[in-house]
Amino acid sequence: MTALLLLAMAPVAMWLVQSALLAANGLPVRWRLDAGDAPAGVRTGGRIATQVILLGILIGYPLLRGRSPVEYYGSLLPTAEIGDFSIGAAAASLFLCVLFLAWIAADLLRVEVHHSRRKWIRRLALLPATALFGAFVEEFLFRGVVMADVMGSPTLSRGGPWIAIAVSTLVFTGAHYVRAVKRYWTLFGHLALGILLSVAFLRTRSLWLPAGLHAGGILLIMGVRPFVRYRGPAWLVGASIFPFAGVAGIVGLSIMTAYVWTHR
Amino acid sequence: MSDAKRDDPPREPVAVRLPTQSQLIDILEKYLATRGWTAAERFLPKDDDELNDRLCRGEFAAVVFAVPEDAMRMIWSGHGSVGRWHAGENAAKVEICFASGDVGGEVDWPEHLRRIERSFAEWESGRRRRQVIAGSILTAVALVAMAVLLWTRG
Repeated sequence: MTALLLLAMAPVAMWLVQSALLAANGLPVRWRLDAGDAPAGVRTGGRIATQVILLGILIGYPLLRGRSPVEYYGSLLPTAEIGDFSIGAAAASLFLCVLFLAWIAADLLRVEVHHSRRKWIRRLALLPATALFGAFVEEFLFRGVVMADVMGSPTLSRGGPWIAIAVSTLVFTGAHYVRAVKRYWTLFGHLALGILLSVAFLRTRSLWLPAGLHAGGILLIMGVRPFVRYRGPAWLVGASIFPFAGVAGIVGLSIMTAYVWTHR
Repeated sequence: MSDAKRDDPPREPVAVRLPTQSQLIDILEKYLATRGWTAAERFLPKDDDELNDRLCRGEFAAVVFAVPEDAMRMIWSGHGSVGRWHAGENAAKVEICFASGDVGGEVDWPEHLRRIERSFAEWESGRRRRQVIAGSILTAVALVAMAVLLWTRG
């Protein structure tokens, strides 16, 4: 329960920071976490605050359990299982390549460069670091902290692994919608992805496989993003950075989940 | 500035869609100078979707293209909702202008059709080239991923 309490405090802290930044800029307080049209200082300040709060949770949770963060996360990344990272990254890449190829062939995805050369080169150069950072931070948080906490809770673990999968998935999904976002229909895609990553952690008891799946997904999605436009229908192919949120993506994630469940 | 003004940005009078061929820029700039539109907002071809959205929203009174082929390219790529800019009951009534001198006057339909056909063929060949490049890269990534899976699992 420690993890859930810590995580529940995150949006409150983010909202307080946002309110303080808005007030400092002479703007009215907003009830939602939404700085989309606010001055750059509010947006940047909000982003920095979010990272600091998440870092605080990642460091604070093991300390509250009486363990050092290095030792705690190290125990979730056993060296013997490191190969699972490349398996996860390869599986996610293969899955997304198949989707993208099918959609390009069907003209549901059109190849069009829509960033300046400088911008897309910079993005691609930073992509491996972005993918690794995003994947490991989220896996540490949602599987390493939240799910491990539920699995270790005498009360919650009594309901079997389903409780841990459900809680981890719901927290993971909810976290992507705490701030105001453009699209809410992508929620089912996040649920399917959350289940896959949670099952990967449950079956391997290590973060390598979920981190590999997550990093491979970010790498492909963000790598392709500057060069394509989705032509829909969105319910089938997804949109923007959510190719996994269309029906085809959700079916693919479900097949991968079933595979991980039966073969690991 | 009041909140009302911030919520309701001033209507920029003219949008300029920069030409796909750089040698047409001089013609375009000369035309803009003639019309007194040198301060008009410029859009690169990669921002066709944004230009289309803003034209549909009625943020511009006029849009200028160097040649009709640039407007056609927007239509082929799905970003040229000309009906919503220009004609129809709910259209934004945007004036569509071309900087090249060979537009207007009596309609020469065979010549128009030849231009449309040429424009579509050029656009289609570019689209196919980009598809082939993207398809080859994605296939290569998929094969590498498959090799990693087989190698690691084997």
